[in-house]
Amino acid sequence: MKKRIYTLDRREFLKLGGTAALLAATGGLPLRVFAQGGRTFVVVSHAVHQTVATTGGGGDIVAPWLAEQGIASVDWRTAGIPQVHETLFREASLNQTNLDVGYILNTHLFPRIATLFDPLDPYLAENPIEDFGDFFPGMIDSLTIDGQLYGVPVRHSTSGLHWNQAYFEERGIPGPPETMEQVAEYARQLTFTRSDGQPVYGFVIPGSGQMHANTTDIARAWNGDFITTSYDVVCAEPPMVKALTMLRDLFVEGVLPASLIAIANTDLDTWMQTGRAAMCVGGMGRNRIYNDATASQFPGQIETMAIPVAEELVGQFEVAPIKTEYWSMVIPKASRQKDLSWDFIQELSTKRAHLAMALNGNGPTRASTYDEPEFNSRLPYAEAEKKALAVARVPLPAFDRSAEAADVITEHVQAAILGAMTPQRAMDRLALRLEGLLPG
Amino acid sequence: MLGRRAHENALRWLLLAVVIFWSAAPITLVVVSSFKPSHRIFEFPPTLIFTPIVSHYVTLFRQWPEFATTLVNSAIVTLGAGALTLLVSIPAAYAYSRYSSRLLTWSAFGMLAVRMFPPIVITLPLYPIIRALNLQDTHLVLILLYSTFFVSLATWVMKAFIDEVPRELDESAKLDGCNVLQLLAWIILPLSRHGIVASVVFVVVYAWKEFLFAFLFTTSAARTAPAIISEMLGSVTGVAWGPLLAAATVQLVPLLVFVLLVQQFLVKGLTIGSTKG
Amino acid sequence: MVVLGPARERREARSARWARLVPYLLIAPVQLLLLLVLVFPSIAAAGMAFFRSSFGIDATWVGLDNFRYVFDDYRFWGALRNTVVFVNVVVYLEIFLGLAIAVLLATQFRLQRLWISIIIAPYAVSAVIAVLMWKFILEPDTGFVNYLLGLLGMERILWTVIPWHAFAVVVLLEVWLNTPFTFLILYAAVMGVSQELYEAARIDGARGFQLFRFITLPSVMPAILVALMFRYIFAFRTFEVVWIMTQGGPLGSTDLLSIYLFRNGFRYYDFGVAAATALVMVVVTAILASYYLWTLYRTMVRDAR
Repeated sequence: MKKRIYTLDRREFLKLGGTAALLAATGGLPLRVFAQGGRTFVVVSHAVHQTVATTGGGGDIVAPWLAEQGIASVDWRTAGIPQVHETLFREASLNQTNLDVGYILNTHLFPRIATLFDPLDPYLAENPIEDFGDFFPGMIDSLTIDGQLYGVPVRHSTSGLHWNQAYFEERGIPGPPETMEQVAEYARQLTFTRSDGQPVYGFVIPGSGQMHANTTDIARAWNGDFITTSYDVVCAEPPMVKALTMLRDLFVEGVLPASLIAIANTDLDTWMQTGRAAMCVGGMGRNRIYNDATASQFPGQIETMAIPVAEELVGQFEVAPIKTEYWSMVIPKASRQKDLSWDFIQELSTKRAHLAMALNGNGPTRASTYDEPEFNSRLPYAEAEKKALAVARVPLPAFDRSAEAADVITEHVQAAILGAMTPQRAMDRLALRLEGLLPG
Repeated sequence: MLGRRAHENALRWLLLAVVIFWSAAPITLVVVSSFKPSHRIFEFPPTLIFTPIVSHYVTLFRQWPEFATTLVNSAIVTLGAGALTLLVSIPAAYAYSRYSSRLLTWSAFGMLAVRMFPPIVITLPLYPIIRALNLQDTHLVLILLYSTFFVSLATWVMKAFIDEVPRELDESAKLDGCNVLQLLAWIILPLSRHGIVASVVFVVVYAWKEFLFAFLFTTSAARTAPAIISEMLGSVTGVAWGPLLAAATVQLVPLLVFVLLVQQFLVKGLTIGSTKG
Repeated sequence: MVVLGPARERREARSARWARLVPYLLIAPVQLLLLLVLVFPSIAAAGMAFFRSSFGIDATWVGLDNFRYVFDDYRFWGALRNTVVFVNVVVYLEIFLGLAIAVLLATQFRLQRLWISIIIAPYAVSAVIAVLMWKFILEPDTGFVNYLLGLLGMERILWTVIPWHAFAVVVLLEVWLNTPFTFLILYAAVMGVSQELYEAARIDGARGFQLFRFITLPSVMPAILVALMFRYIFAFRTFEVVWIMTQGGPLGSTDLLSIYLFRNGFRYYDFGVAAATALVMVVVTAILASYYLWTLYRTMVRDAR
């Protein structure tokens, strides 16, 4: 009896124990090798970057580069804005990463973070980008920290007002709004239920995540801000409070949808395409997505204009000094295919590439692209964008705790719109918080 | 009298039905809906009888080819964690069962006290350490982490089972010339093999389900299913429910089957683990 | 004839010394694992709380600054308050449900094993899947629950927008996921109550609810306390469900201490502040676990002579 237990279980035990120990010891390494196959190029970015680089009227500018380099594909790791930066910073802080290029928003590139990325001057010296002076100097300036350039700007997103012309005609509104007050007025008229039962909301802004940026757009009609570029906290001043009051009123009246704070930027695409929203504020480049014949129910009928100022600022500004944000491409210090990374950046930075991406709905960071007739004629909003760019500024200056500040701002803005407290009180409290978060 | 009994009986069954619905409905809904064509996923009332389609599964693996890899990773990490847990717990359990000393008692106390640490606390110091050791994105790091949080319980459960094995067998084996390891392998373990299952069950379930460590310490090569499903949940334009439900089903069903098979061991392990031992 | 000489005695003494080491060698792997992965990092985390550390700067000693920041932070107090409410609501709901279901199942049904299997099923569901599941069910416009509520003319559950709805949903998820745990413990306890006690009580004229109140409940109370304590400790740690579902929103209504810690550590990359929060969490956990630890000490160390 004993002998049987010895032999039977000895074999079984050894077998089990052996494989288990082997697996545990190697950490599954043999199996892991099967997972990768072939050379890849990894990019972390927002979904929109992949879109403008690969689809649309301007064509796919990445495919020929891939063919040239002999790489199978680009592994685009796309996610929402906070997640993109989280992933980028995490990967960049490793000793080694398989991430090759990252896209970073200007608000997230403050001096401390820059240490995670390679300075690009050496790359520029060896393999220059054509006509580098063509890039908007303001952007290059803020990408230069301690005399070194850390990123190449690739996309700017400057906000505009998108309006559904078909609805305007249907509701008997003669033309686009000329002041921010008219935007609110028209929005009220544009809130109705369609003949097919679909409710239409006159005005929608994405209320989740980037609320601090989206609210700034509205506030700029009064030239308002949360924090100025000289780090003054002005959220409790009349301009911002007026903007919030307008949003709150529209929310109460049902002109802004009840699910507002759950709507993300990308959800808004669907809202405009299906006609659930009559007007919205967002990056001008989205005009192409809203008018996309394959997805939109209103192809060619969504117009884009520069955001109008409030009545009291008419004459002072031609258009509202709305927010512009721009994305740059960076190379993490820990990346392993740096020559390839720079090559990719170079490729996407050529004049030709910028024109192509612009035709795909991108906001080009090269001044010359705006002079291209192809761009001018094909994109109805080119003129408006140029006007807006002339006066646009960043929504929030970059500082150490700006990520936290953005979250805190979003919380207070949502509280004001949902009615948890009055706009003035929300902004008063916000001012206190922000003072605590600013440096010095 | 009979009427009242029948009344009570009906009430019992009604309550049971409510409880069963509460436990099973969400799971059933997800699994069943994963086989429905998109336009019928949200139909109300939901039907259980229809012709199933697998297109969502196809889309899932086509649009997210990484998903298959993450499943394999989950499997590796789960098996590895189970193996490592057993490897370190069984000898310790034997020691605690057969020997006693002040040092042993204190170490046992320490082992159980340490269960109280919230896992999230060690993510902070481990973050740079794991990077420095280049263990980032490896199966090993997850295997180590998962085992650590369950070795105490595993040891304790195993000890309870080994306690049941009469010491006389130890003696006679030693007289036969066995050393400790042989004794363990050929006498103790076969007689306490239910203990093996009971002690490893918890770490297996945990490892398959775990999200926090997988999310923080893996990125692609060793990414596990829960981490990637959370990405799928939070990503892109709207939510494509079909493939998501398929992903949920694929991740859920194996563990569900496992839990159902080992439920007795779960109960035994829980009872032992929650008494002071 | 065997001659016992000094050589053999020395050999025997050596093997006896070696034999004494055996138990410590056997427990060495476990203890090593715990020390390296759990204990030392925890001490390190405690230490980190006194430094300012993040990307791009070297760790600098700042004394109690991180704690000052945390205790000054309105979001910390919000998270703390939410956690206290959350833990209490969740734990008592789970105990109540677990006990109720245990008592119900103790009446023994046909196909008992099947029903128990189904009741345990949520234990196999990971946090991600649970969130996916309930997000699906609670879809604001097309989801089943809201559709049903709409038909009944009631207000929809808008957990992405209405703060207390979000809190309720998160509580619901935690309870749904963890009731199997309390059920199993309490079921074992209820089943362990001796039938004779019930017989004796019935002879004395007790019926139904009285039987429960005077026999079942007192007998099961130790198990309830154990389940209560464990669930307190584990509910306090809740992270995954909340992070995946609401990330602490809307308006910070589902912000828990673990979420606060994670956000400061891994979104703002302020490791010092996160470590300070971690220390707070450990202290609170120690308080919650103090009774358990005390009993453990008593039964294992003090009385086990």
